[in-house]
Order: sequence, then structure tokens, then C-alpha cells
Amino acid sequence: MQRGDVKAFNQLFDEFYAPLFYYSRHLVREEEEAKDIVLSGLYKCWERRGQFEDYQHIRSFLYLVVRNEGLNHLKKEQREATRLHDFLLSAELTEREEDYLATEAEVLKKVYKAVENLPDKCRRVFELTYLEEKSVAEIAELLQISASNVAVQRHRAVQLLRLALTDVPLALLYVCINLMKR
Amino acid sequence: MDRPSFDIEVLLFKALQGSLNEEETAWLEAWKAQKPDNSAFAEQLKNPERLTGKLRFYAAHNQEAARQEAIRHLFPQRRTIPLFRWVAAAAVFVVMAVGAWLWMGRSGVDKSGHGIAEATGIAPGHEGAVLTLADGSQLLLDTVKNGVVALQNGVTARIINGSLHYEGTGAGMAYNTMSTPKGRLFQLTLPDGTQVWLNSASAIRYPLVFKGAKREVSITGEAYFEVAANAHQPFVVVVAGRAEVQVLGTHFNVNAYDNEHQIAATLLEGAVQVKKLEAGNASVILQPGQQALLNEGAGINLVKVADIDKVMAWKNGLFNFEGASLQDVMRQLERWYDIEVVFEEPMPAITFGGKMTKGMALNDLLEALKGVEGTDIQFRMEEGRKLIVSRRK
Repeated sequence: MQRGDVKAFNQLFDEFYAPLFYYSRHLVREEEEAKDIVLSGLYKCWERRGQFEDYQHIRSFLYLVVRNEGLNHLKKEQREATRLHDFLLSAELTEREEDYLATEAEVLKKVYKAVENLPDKCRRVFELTYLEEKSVAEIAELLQISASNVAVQRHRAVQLLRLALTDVPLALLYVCINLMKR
Repeated sequence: MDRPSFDIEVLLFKALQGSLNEEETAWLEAWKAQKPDNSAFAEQLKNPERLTGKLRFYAAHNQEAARQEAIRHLFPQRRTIPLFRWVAAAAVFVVMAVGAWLWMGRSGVDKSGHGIAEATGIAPGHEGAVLTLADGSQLLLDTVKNGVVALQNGVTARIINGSLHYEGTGAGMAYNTMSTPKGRLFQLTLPDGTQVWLNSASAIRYPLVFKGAKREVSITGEAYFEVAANAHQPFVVVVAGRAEVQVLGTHFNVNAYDNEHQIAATLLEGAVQVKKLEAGNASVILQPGQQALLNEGAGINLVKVADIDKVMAWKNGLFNFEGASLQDVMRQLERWYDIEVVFEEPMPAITFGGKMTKGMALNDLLEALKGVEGTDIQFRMEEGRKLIVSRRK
């Protein structure tokens, strides 16, 4: 990141934007505000890019900045007073070391990376299933593949990711069988 | 993982996958035992429904728009990376035809040796020019960095560090023409010590020896002069056969591309008189910082405060697009990158701002253009170094 060029910035962005956005969305709810806060954090990080020792250092800095800006934003908005209160209670954000939300964001980042590494069709099916909650029939239509193929890809995705996700395949296999009967 | 890591997020992820080894499992359990909150957190993350929900929430980021915004924000401040600002207007322009231009007695462009354009890598222009000697023979000056170029009539032309210098006095009257094709820049020193910088697609014709009452040269395209002082022999630049700039000893820039709609002469230091060589011979005297604009037919426009920065940008290795239209920008790119720009359809009127270094590859430049919000311009390269400009459907 020492090079001050677009490519280096893109790398920083790719690594941190999504989890930071997840984090900041939990703080401020409004998408636009959340995005601005994250970008502001990234800009600050970028300005100081010569000063970071390692990855952890950068990561801690970013979450810290985003958290502070998020809290500042909440404090500024009078009507957010109750939410700030709720947030502090429910998000277990009592001390810096216990930033569960940040940890969660980082875990999700890994999960999402694993999803992105799936083979193309498999990934598409996975996204349509879990993220967009489409039915097998809808997916089959969208991707122009058979319903059984959809089920196969789903199963494959879950296998590859080896994640304990909602046990959708079983239920849908049932639906598939029914569809195919007609 | 190439080395063991005990970051909690790594362990939690592995726990989700069920890929923890013994050591890691122990570590995670110890962490969970540290406090009830830790344990609760780990458990709720494992819940399949909650995990799916969270993943969905995570995936709902409009990353690309944010990325563009960030890049626009960070990189115009940096001198090295260029960006454009656009201001869209309401009107729609008719397609502008791409014109050819005339060099001194030559027509068309010699495209041989340029090869087929590839999707990646149209390199920016660089130094180099073609010297046409009095006898018509031509010399490509790209490859000659230092050395003697031509020996004619007792006059030596020497290349020093990539720029041409004339020396010596000779008999007879012979002319040379220095021309730059598209994508080339060149600097030369005339026999009287006057320095000339030629922009792409430009030419200057000059005698090997300045004899007579005046020192006269002719140019087309764009050139910047630092004229050696000589009160007894005024320096005259004939511009594209349509105007004349008479100087005593000064620094000035003349822009006279055939496919630009006007001739512009800008004075930096000294004093010049700019005269039209047609329709009434209107003339004007420029002070430093002023610019004369000559159009077909009409008289001469005097700009009292010229944007010197913009006028001189080309010589300083930059494009300066302040107030330029899309067509203006494309014409400049045509000359520098040696491409032909074709507008596939009428484009909206857009005004640019900003500067840019000329040293970038065309593709990077176009990427920067495409990345600007609120625009729908598309580019594609075709064979024969053609850049097609269209609108995104």
C-alpha cells in the first residue's frame, strides 16, 4: 500500500469495504450515511498509509475510525438517542476489545470470500438461493438450467463452503421431485 | 493458512466449517470460557438461520458505486493520476467529423508501421520527428539521440539529447521541414538559436540560414517558440498560410491545427503583432499573457487574460481539459495517441475540467473516463487504431 496508486487503493477497498459497511450499517442504519462513514475511514487510512506496520494495524485502525464516526453520527442526531442507548446495550460494545460486531463482520468477510471462490454457476445458484431467496423454479428459469441441476449446484455449494447453513436443499429436493412429477 | 493463527475470527470461521484442529479447538473453547458473552456470541453465529440472515445483510452492499466515489475523491488530488469532472448540458451535438490535416505540402497521414491496435496498450506519444531535407529525403529522428544528422551547404544539424540544433553558416538557400506525426513531440533549435517545441501532428518549415530582412518560418499544427533576440531581423511565423506572427524576441505559443476551428497565438513574454493574411489583414499587438484568436472571416479576437497553463500544458507533458468539450478532448487524444476517433452517435454536450499527464496508456485514461458517475459514454477500440465513442444503452 506504500505505492500511492489506484491499484493499491483498490486492494485496500476490496479487502475492507464490505465488512466495514456491514459494521457501519449496524451503527447508523441509513445506507448513504453508512457508506459515507466507511469511505471517510478509508480516506483517513489512505492518508496515513505510510504509517501502518501490518495488516492488523490497518484493520484495527479502520474499525476504530468507523466506530467513532458512527457513534458521533448517532450522538449528533437527537432522535437517535434511544437507538444509541439500545445499540450500546444490545451490541455488546462495552469496551474496545469486545467489539463483537467487528469480529462478526470479519467472519462474514471470510464466508463471503469463500462464496466468491465457488465455481461460477455454483456461486450464482448459491447467491440466488440464500441471498435472494429465490425458489428452485425461479433459479432454473433465470439461469436456463434444469431444476435438478439447481439442486445439484446448491448441494455442491454447501459442500464446498462446508458451512452449516439453513437446511434448504432437503426441502427443495422435495419440491423438485414434485415438480418433476407433473 | 500457511501458519497457525489465533485470531478469533479465523477460529470462528473454521468452526463454522468444522475444520478446526485440536489446538485451535482448545483455544476457541478457552476463549469462550473467558466470559459468557464470548460463548453467547460464538453460539449465535453458528445458528444457521441467523448466519444466513447475516450473510444476506452483508451481501447487500453497493460496493462498486462506493468504489467509484472513493477513487474520484482520492485521485484528483494526486498530481499523478488524472480524472475528469463533467458538467452535462441539455443540448445534443451533432456528430463531429474527424478531419485530416495538411502538413507543408503533404496530405494525409502516413500510418504505415503503426500496426494493429490492441485492446490493451495504446502507448502515449513520445519524442521523435521526421526531418525532411531540402532535397526531399527524410530522416526519422526517433532513434537518433545524439550525433550529427545532416551536412548540407556548410550547415550542420546536430542532435543533442534528442533535440535538433543547427550550426554554421552556409551558402545558398535551402529549407528543411521538421514534422511530427501523431503521437510525437519534438524540440529543435533553429540556426539563429530560436528554440521551437513542436506538438503532435505539427510541422515547421525553415531555412537553413536566416538571411535577409526577416527570419521567416512557417508552421502548421502547434508550436511553442522562444525566439532569440535580434532587433535587426524580426522573426516572422507564417501560420497555416492564414496568419502571420511578427516578433522581436519573445516566448509565445501558436496553435493552428487544421481541425480546430480557430488559430490561437498566445504570448508569454515580449511583444508580438499578429496579422491575418486574408480578408482585410486585421492585426493586433499582444502583451504578455494575452491571446489572439483568429477565426474564418471575422476579425481577430483578443483575449486579455489567457489561460497560460492550459495553453502550455502540452509542452509540460500534460493535457489540460479545462472547459473543453468531449470533441476537443477527443481531438487532442487523436493527436497524442495516434488514433482515429469515430463518434457512433450524437453525444450530449459535456464540458470537462481537470488535467492529466500525457504519459498514461490510452486504456487507463479511458477507464478513468468511464468511471465517472452520471455519464453513459462507452469506448471500444477497433482495428486500425480506431476509437469508437458511443453511449451506453
